[in-house]
Amino acid sequence: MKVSYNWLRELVEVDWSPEEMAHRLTLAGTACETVIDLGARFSKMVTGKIESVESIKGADKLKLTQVNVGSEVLEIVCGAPNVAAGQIVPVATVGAVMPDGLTIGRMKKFGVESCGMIASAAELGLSDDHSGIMVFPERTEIGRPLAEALGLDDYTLEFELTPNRADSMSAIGIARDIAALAGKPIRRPTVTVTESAEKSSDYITVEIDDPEFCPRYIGRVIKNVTIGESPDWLKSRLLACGQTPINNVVDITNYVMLEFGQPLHAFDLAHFDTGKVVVRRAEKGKFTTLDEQEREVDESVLMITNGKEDLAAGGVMGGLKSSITETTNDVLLEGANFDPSLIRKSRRVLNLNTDASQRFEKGVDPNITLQATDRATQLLVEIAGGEALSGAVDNYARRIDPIEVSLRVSRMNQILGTDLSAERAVEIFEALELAVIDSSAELIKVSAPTFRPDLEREIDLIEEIARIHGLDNIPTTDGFLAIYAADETAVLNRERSALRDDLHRSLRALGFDEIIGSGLADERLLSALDPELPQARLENPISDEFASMRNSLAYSLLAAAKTNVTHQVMDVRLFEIGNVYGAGIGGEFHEKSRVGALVSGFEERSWRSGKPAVQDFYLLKGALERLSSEVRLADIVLTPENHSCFSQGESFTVSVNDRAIGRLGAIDPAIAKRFDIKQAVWMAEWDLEPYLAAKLPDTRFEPIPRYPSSSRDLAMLVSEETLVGDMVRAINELGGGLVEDVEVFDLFRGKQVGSGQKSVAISIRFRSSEKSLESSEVDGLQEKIIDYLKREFNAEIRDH
Amino acid sequence: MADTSNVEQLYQEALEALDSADSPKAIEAVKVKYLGRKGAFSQILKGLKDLSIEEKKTVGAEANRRKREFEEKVEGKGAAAVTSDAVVSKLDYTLPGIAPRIGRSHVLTSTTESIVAIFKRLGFDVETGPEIEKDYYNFEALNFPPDHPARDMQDTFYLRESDGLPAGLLLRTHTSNVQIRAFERRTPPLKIIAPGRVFRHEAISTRSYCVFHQIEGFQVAERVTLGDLKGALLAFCQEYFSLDVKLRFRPSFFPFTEPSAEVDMSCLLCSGTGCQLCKYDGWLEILGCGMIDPNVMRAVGYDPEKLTGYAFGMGIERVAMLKHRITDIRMLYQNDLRFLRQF
Repeated sequence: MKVSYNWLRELVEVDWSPEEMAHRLTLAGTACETVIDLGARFSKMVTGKIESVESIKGADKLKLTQVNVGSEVLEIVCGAPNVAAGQIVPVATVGAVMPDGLTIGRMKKFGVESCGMIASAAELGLSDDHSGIMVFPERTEIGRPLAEALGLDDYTLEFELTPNRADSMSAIGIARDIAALAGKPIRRPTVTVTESAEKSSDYITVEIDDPEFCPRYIGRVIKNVTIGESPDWLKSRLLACGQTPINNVVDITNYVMLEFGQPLHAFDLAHFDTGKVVVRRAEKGKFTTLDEQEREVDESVLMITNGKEDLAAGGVMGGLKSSITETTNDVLLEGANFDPSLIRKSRRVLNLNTDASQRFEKGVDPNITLQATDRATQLLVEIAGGEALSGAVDNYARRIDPIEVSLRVSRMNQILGTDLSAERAVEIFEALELAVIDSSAELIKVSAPTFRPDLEREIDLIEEIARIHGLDNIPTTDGFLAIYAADETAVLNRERSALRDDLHRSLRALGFDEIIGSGLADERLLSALDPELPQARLENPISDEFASMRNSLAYSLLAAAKTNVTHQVMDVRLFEIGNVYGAGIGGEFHEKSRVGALVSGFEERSWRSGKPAVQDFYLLKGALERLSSEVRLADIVLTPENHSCFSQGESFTVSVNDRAIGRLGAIDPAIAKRFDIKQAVWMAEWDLEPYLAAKLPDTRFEPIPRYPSSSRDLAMLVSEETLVGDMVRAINELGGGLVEDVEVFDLFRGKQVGSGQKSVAISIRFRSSEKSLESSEVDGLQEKIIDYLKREFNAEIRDH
Repeated sequence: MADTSNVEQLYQEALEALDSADSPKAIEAVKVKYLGRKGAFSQILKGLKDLSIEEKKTVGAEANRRKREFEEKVEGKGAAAVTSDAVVSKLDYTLPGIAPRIGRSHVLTSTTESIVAIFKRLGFDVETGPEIEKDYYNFEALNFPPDHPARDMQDTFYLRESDGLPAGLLLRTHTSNVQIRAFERRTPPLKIIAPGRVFRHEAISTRSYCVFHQIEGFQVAERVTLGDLKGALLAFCQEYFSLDVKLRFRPSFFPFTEPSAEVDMSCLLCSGTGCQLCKYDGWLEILGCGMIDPNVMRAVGYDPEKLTGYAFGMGIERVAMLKHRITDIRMLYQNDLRFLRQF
């Protein structure tokens, strides 16, 4: 909401600068974030008197003028047809910036130097009048700053009001806060209406169908108004409040709305030939509003009718048909009160947000209606020459009275952490125009006025004390340092978050960079990844890209890989720990946390490493194995199983403790292509909760071995299908507790080993915890192992 | 034939050589050439045997004097350089070192972690809550009236009802749902900090995104005051931003707190004098807070006469962007490693 600074200073006598006013109000919760200097655009512009006009040789249309601007006489070349000696005119001096961006400089034309510009109203951005320079009345002071001469030396204070502050949607409302802060009274306008003998009630009656939604409706008839332009003071005040002047009648209703916060509407009385105003719910259909838009209406819109025809959408906007025109003679002035929640619905149905609906939506004081209607009537008489008929037709169908609210002084101090007295509280309440009914050292009873619908409870009064006393004046205390004993939830949360932190740290230590996906996802890409997996789709998405919720981390990891690969960062190792969503995905909450990791491109290169290795299955598997051992979680087990997003034969299920918790594999190239990725991508993702639940018990100390170990290396040829892991497991079992470790240290294929074969080299470390093993014992074990491998795995031993 | 002029000539030549030696290595070479066992001075002294006794005396004395003088000069030029344990690298120590790369935390994670760490130190427990939420937890229990504008489709994402997804689910618009969920499960006194992801139906720009992160904090106990809230926030901001940071509390409105306030912090760059970061205001808006509304207490079955509490909420993106002067919020969700690896 925009309010004129000059107006506020008229209402309360304070010597605050515009900025100080904005600042003080902001710190009292009446947020004013912008101050616009309306005069600034007229900087370096003054009034000047044209002392002489001479023609210039060689130029038919241009004249050389001598202009007295008070401090000096300027030579200015002017081309306007109406320029004449003796005129008092607006002069833009050197350095002035015109609304079109032109900076005025000295200019030589036809051998004479022009030191400024005499401006037209159009050039000043004041009107569309291009016909000639603007001329001021004769007695206008010379050398006066133009903003002052135009009555535009004002500031606009722009307020960003919180939704609870219905009371401050007007100049008087803001003035009330200024008055409370400054300890000064408000100088309200005196409202007196000169009435004729005829009565408004001779022309209309007011019927309200549903007082729940329209507690009050006032009609006043003003006859014989002269529609025309508003006086300058009214126009400039409206402009300073961000309103465009239209005609005197409309301007007056707008002015009074800005003054009192009461929206008003002027109808052409001719449309109420039925002799009545009927306020009723709209029927489903169409209605054309003042702005010439045909809009859908239904029963959540309240219609102002003449009993037959719909004439205005109550509390939102008038109708086109009944609006004031140049031919309007008699006016029906409406001052009404509407229910906030109804207006909120109506304006949604109408798809229209107006100054009126904004105010009604917050709540307009039902006990200001008559005063505001009278005020507008007064101005219609004074400005538009109207004849006010006697009395208002006031149907106050549902009375709303002030309510009594009590404040306990001890409670106030308990909430605020202050030591304020009852006197201080009473002082603040009275400054805010809240009537104090009764007060003692502990209890203050206040009548909360109807312009403050937000004051219903004790806490609401405490808030008023806090904001006027000043939050910055409330002492800072250290009760926040209290430490409370941990409960079961706290302990559990701490353990889980410590594990999660460990996981995070270990993933980074393994060289994975963390990404964070937005959680919102493209429905089509999700379906490409996992056609069967349920999705949680948005009812009201902002775009296709964000129309669904991700049901896998694959989506976010691939999107991140795409971003990087597209920017020539080809070698990536990414992870995310975050939520995935979807019907039933996470039980009650339809969401669950997952861990995801993706590798693509090459391993890091150094000047010593030579050709870097491709980041593949083994790198990812190794990372997962290392992760579990670092965080001390049960081992991750991979089982071949097809998942829709992976290439066949390169797809695995991830399990811990025999429970499937996720998947690992190579992204199907067709899917990778949809993410603009052409290189191989390996990724894994698995559920966080069951993973962390696989926490191993606390480490139990094991004695450090006392006896030496002996190692034996085996190199063998096995068929390609043989799983090395199976051989390792067999060796461990055959060792009978004496095999300490089995390491695969070489693997190769090629011509030397023949097709369908691979050469595997294994080192076995034997150790006993009871004695030094004799070399013969180790040899015996090795023989046993070799026999077994030959028999069960068809291994051809090459070397041992 | 050898007279002292030879000694003098050698001495001058040696001085010149020393003069132009510009590295420890070169100095060492000069030393070897002139003072070594087979060096020039030794040669002269060896040559004395062919001379007369008289000549031996004069030339020998002169050669020894000049040799000692030259030794001193060499010592003077680089005492360390000419000793036998000279520090000369056998490696090209300018080659890059070799270490496995360690991955980075996303800047939002590291920001969250540092904020949470401070509150943990102040005795707050960490909690989280669901992102897909019921109206009750996101709005109703938090004292939002049924027709509150925040419930508009313009502000809140709603989920489409479908098999398995019941009607009326929404994406939480703030982390304040954790207040209600924690209040239901736990018994005061409690101090909780709750970081998490939230969603707003907003147009995407450099300053706003439809997804962001918040940190919610709250304390409920007997006799918790607005002064304590101010204390907690000041303690946090001083530790996180700067020990001489100042806070300003502007009254504001949130349905779930009363009194409510927005908190501004003195500008990190100009400390209040005005600069581009604070848009010449001297203050940076940093969070919203207030005293927990009695209606919220009642909704969870707490007695507002007995218990009081405060709550605050802070945007993590906002903090990270201020701290690292990030100019476009969208970069936080693009996951471009050239950006992420800067933090």
